[in-house]
Amino acid sequence: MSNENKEKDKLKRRIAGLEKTLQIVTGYSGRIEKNLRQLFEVVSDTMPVPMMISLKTGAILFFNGNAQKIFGYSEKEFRKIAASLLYENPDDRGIFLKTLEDKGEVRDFAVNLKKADGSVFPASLFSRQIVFEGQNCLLTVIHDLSELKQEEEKRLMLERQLRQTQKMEAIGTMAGGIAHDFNNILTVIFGKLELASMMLPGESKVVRYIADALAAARRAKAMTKQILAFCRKTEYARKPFHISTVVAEAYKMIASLTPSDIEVRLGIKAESAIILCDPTQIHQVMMNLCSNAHHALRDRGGVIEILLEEVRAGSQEKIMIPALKSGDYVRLTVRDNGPGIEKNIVDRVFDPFFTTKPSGEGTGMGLSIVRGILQAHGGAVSVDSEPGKGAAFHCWFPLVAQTEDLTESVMPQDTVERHRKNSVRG
Amino acid sequence: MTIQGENYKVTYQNGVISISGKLSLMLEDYEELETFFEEVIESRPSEITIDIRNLEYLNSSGIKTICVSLILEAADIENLQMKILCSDRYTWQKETVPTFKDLMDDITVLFG
Repeated sequence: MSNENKEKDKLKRRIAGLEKTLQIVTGYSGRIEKNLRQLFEVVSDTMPVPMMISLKTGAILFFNGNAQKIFGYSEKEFRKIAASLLYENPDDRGIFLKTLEDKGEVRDFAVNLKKADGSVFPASLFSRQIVFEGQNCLLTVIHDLSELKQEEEKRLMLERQLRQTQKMEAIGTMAGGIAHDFNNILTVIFGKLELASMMLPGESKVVRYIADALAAARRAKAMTKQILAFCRKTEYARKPFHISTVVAEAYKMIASLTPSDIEVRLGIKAESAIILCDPTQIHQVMMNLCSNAHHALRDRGGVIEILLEEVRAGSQEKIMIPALKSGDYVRLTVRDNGPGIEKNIVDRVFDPFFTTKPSGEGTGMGLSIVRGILQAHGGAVSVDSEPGKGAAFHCWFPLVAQTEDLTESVMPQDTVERHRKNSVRG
Repeated sequence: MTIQGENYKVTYQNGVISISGKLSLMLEDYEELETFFEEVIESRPSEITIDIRNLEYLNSSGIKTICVSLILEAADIENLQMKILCSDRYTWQKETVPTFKDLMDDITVLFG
């Protein structure tokens, strides 16, 4: 073979080799591209945050499952929608693009975004410019702040409740001290008035004045007793009781005292529930709550519902009523369909000396005493009310046991007292 | 002979070219490696072994450099034996290196 032919042959082989190399490299690049695309899709669909890729014009080229989920658009809708329509205020996208242009990236861009159903949620955007499918695009990650905002609101609410609790404790301590000293002063007043009365002839006008003074002093004593009850200075003996029988008995008394234009209904769904309580105090709780309900329905009539049921307090209830611990409770509810409580005062109804009643009609101690009693029983009281929709007071008593649950170690059968064998059912 | 980069190392000793690490340079940055292979070929060895068992990653430009500057050049040398030692730990090696046989008849690809 001549040299020329040899060279030609070598060149031919080289060209064939280069063609094969091209195939090898192209095949390799194709596999790498495919793997990278797959990796991108897996990462974007696995990441727990919404992400999308859009053009500056607003066309959305790519979105992950979380973006679809949070905005509530179908895949087809998402591909058609302009990115600016995902903003509550479409002009915000202009500011977002300007920031991106100025800084090269966007971090923590606070904005309100809009879902397919029109609802709005707070979000924080993070974005950078990338090349995607051969075009200059924006990769944007959306951080939904809804839960964070809710958590913040819950925290603020708990802080408010904590401050309120601390304030109440301070007032309680102070009022307890004053009531105690006032009681001592009253003792002297009683003694001296009685002595003075004994030293005067029966027909004396002064005796009548002294009697009036004594009556006023007795009212003062009753008031100090209420304050002391609120402050939990008085120890009451608590025993295991079927609360249903106590409630049923109180209901009978309340129903008999209620005017005919007000209907009192009783619903007992916790007949076998046992709590540790002082029945007199349960009576007082019901009397105070029903007395308020009477007042709410005065001149208009209506319905008072008394409901007793077993409930479980979970994390949700603990947030709403911080005094509650997780566990089983018996909940006594007194609900009326009166005018309800104004929003601006609903947080204050349990404050001592707070009343909406006209001067001389209420001391403002009724609900404070209810709260004191519930606290002493290891429970809590809460209120649900909206103007025009009535009011419901829920009293949560820790459940000790049910009749069928009783074992000797928990509570001997004969210590469980029943006021009556048959409770009244509403 | 040795070339040492940030994430890779290439050596030639006793007829064995060892490439290790991650090799992902831009096409124009492979010039140094092309010269390296040229020197290996010019030394007219009767046998070349390419050991890439510790080469974790090689980009497409690297594949092109090995194919054109080393294997195709070696294919022009009569009676030169070429052996490639590979690792089946790396998927890219399993998928790509066997296709190098298309470039040279006397090439042996061994996985271990």
